[in-house]
Formats: sequence, structure tokens, C-alpha cells
Amino acid sequence: MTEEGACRCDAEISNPYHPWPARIIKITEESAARDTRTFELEWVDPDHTARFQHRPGQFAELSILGAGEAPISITSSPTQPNLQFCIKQMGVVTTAIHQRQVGDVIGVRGPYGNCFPVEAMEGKHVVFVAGGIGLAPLRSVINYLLDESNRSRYADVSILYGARSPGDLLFKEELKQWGERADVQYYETVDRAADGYSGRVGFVPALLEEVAPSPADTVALTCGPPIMIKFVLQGLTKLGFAPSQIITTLEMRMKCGIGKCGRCNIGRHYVCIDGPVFSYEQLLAMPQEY
Amino acid sequence: MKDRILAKTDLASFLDRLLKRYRVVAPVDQGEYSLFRPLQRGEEVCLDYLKPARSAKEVFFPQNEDLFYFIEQTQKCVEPESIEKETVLFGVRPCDLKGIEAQDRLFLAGAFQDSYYQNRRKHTILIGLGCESPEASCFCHNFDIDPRGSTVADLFCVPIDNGFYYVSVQSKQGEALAGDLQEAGAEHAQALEETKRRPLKFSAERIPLEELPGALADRFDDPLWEEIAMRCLGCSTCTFVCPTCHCFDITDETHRGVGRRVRTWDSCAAPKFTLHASGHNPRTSNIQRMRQRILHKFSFFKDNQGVISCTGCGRCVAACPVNLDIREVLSELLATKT
Repeated sequence: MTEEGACRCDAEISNPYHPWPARIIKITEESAARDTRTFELEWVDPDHTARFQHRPGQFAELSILGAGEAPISITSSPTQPNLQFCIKQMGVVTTAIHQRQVGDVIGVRGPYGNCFPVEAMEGKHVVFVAGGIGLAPLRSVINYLLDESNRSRYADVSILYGARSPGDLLFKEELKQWGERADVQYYETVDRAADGYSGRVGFVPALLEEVAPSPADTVALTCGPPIMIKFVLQGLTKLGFAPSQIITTLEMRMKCGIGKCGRCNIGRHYVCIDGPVFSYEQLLAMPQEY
Repeated sequence: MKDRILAKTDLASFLDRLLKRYRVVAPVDQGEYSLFRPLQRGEEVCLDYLKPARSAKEVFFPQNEDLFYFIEQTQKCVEPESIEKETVLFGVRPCDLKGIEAQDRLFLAGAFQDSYYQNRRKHTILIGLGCESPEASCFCHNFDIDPRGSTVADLFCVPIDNGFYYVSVQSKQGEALAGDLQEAGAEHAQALEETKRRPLKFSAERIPLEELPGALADRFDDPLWEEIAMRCLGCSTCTFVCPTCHCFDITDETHRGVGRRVRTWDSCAAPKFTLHASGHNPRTSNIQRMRQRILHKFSFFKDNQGVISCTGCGRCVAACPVNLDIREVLSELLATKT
């Protein structure tokens, strides 16, 4: 096409479907059920380290050539040195990833999606309410806020976290660290106890009711199984949180991750472009089909 | 840039001259319909059918496209060769040109641009073709489409009297193609004006589409969708023949450790389109999928890309095995708005 052509394709553009290679440098078994692992990656091409700058809440398409791709939230904060993904084995691609060992190379495309509104949250109290693997995407924001370069710009930080059993609690070492910090209130619960566990027993919504955070100058971030989210939203509303004060992150079946393939929409919004982070206020205005 | 004329009887030899320098794609007879196909010889072009059974989108967004090739063991991938020869796409009706425009907005605009679409698009020169009379299924008169003109094309041919095409030269690349054609004279320009003034008879009244966004707003839970979806089989034919539908799948295919990552057409009408690995599916019923299709094309795409995702080409109307007519669906939605 000439410069007068109707098609706006003058500049050569790079291939957005081409994954960048990253080497697995660490695998952490997170769950006693052995179905959830954190993969820590390092870029094969050192250039990519500077070029891949993500914000808390974004995701990437992880690629195994021969199996396919899966959208996984980035669980590491941009303040941490290496990219981390916490992956539950669920289908073809996540099973293929779980079969990888330290030293293997996988593909990464991203960062995609929007992010948690960490600037708008400054000066406020922040309450995290997480269940099960829902902690994985929230962890990127938690570690971002708790980083010494950021912590002072946020007020009180509370973390409410629950899993099915003590063995299912993710990031166990980090949970201990959060519990020991003076500038964080950490509350934990499990659906059912096990030998050696002396902590709280009960569902996350019950924990929320017990802790009863005040909505004054507070933002609540929540993620977890759909049933938990449903009751947490009810609980937060009952405590006086307005829908604009509650933020969550959604999952959806995706393929391209860049808003072209048409698969991940809720109404006019594509979860890969306009999400995955949405406020409860935004969700209420969207069709209830997700 | 001077406009040209081309005798209809000279079309085949014009295309033969182009074939010396370009790959030429044009409608080619397939038996009971035509399809856009690369030509070996100019005489293969077939304009017996008003338009090919599938739209021009497949020239830029093919049904199957190899994204890259790989070896499983090394996890290294290799992209396909980039396009070497320019393509001339001849015989694109205004509805399909409008479709290309809509696909340009989706694939090339926004935070990310599709390099595969862009590669084919920028190496293709478009020759549009004006319509003489619409088919029963045509309804382009509902959209901002002139059946006898389009600025999207590099050259645009309008059939005028005495067996000629008036060839509007609309870009430098178009001019490079048409340089050896006879220049259009005043009498040809007048014949063009006369042709354009002749009204075209469509089979159905114009639907007031500007009222559609209002008619679709707040209709998400309307029980009307169930009625609309009742006949639909979910076969996805409408999405495949449509110039503006753009949904696709990406899958990996391997054979003995060597494979490709391939992009293929997909459809929101397909039951597993939105199925999660967990087993959860936001759209389990055909009613939800029909609602999604209509709202996406006539509401969401307009919100996001600025144009309705439909050009009134009527292929879906002609191809649907149960005669579901989208014009009737839209009329019903408009008639029942509160």
C-alpha cells in the first residue's frame, strides 16, 4: 500500500504471537496435593529482562511448543528480581508445564492485561481477602506494597487467607514472613484442620466477618473460588464497602491474549485487554455471563 | 491520477498482463459458486456469481495460518517465510471492501497489531468491483456502503454502458496497475454518473440501524433471545462466510516431535468456544451464544472499533441451513424495543 492507502500498515511490526524463551530456575511444590507449583524463570535473552516490565495484576501466556498456551497471572511483584508463576495443574498445557524440570525452557508472551490500581490505592488501608489459588495473583500486589520502596505510601495492610487444608496453603514460607511483620496484619484459616495445625478453622467469608475491617479509606482486593468470592462480596457489602472499593481479578478462557481472537469477552470488554482486574462496581455494570 | 476504462472483453488479457508481475487472486468458478482463488490465467476469472461464496477476509485472515514451526525437543521455533510477491486481489464488491475495513480496525488498531494480517494486507493491491443489481439476500443499503464505489480499493471498476468498466484510480499503486489502460473521457465520466443515478432495488426495506444501539441496550436478559435462537443449529456457517467475523483458535499440531502452531477460524456459536480447562463454561446454551453473536456484531464491536461488524452482504442469509435471516432478527429487536 502507498502512503495514501487506506490500510495503516506502514511500519513493520513485531510478531505478537512469538513467545520469548525463559529458563526454569526453580520449582516450588506449593500444595500437599502436589498439583500446584511455583515456577521461577530467567530470560534466555538478557535483552528481554529490560523489555518485559510488568505491573502487579498482569498476566502472561505461557507456551509449551507442542501442547499450547495458557494465560497465567504473574505472581511475582515487579520489585522482585525474577518472574514467577504459580500454576495449578488443570488441563493439557498446565499438565505439560508441570512435567518440566529445572533447566527446561518454556515460552512467555506478555505482559498482558490491565493491573491493580496501585497508584489510586496510595494513602489507603488495604485489605486482601484470598482463598486457595486466588492468592497467586494477589501476591504480586502484596509484595509490591510490602516492598520497602512502596510500603510507606500505604496505610494499614491486612491479609486474610484461607485454603481447604493446611497442606493447601500456598507460599508457606512467605505466609510466615507476612505473619511476623509488624506492618502487616495476617489472618489465616483452613476449611478443615489436620494434625499439627493449631490455627483458625473455618471458611474465608467467616474469617472476614470475624476480622470485620472498616471500610473507611479502605480498598479491598479479593480473589478465590467463585463461591468464596460470592460470599466475600456479600460480606464486604454488609460491612459497608461500596462496590467501587472492592477489586477483584477474573479468569477466562483465552487464546491470543491480545484482544483479537474474540474468546474472552464479557459484554464489550475483553478480559485480556480491559481486565483481568475489575472493580465490583464495573462487574455490576457488565452482563452477568462469566 | 487519471481514471481509465476497460472493456469487459479485455478483462482476461488485463489480468494476464498483471500475472506477469503479480500473484493475482480473483473469483474463480467452483461449480455452483465462485471463491477467491489465485489465477493461473486471466480467463479463469468468473463473474457469473454476484460475489464469491466466502468473503475476501480469507485473503488476509486465512482459514488456516501457520504461525510458526517448531521442534518439541529443543522448544525452538521458526517463523514462516515472509511474502515475496505482491498480490492483486480483483473483483471485491463494496460489501467485502467494507469487511476488509472492519478487519483492519480489529487486527491493526489498538495496543497490539497482528503481524500476520498486516503482512498479507500491505502486500495486496485491491481492485474493487461495483454491483449492477443486488441479490435477494443483499442488504448493504442498511450500512454506509455505496454499491458502486469504495475508497478502500486502489482501483474501483464500475460497469457502465456498452460493455465497459469505468476504472477509478484511487492510489499510486492502483495507477501502477492501470497505466496501460485507455484513459477515461468525458463521455465515460458522464456514463458513470448516469449509472450511479440509477436506483438499485433491494428485496427488503432499509432497517433503521442507527436505532439499533438503543434497541440493544439493556436487552441482555430479554426473553426474546430464546425465540431468536430456537432455530439455530450452532453450525457456525454464518461466521465462516461472514466478511467481518474474526474469531480464531490457536492450536499446536505435532507429528513425531515436529510441529506447527496454527491459527484457524473459530466461532462463538460453537459450544466449547468459551469452555475453561476447569470445566466451567460461561455460555452453555445456544441462547447465550446467539445473544453473544448478535450483540457482539451490532453493539460491542461498534463500541470498541467504531463500526458495526456487518456489511449487509447477506451470505449468512443465503448459507444458513435453517433460513435464519439476520434482517428479521434485527427488525424484531427494533420492533420490540421499549
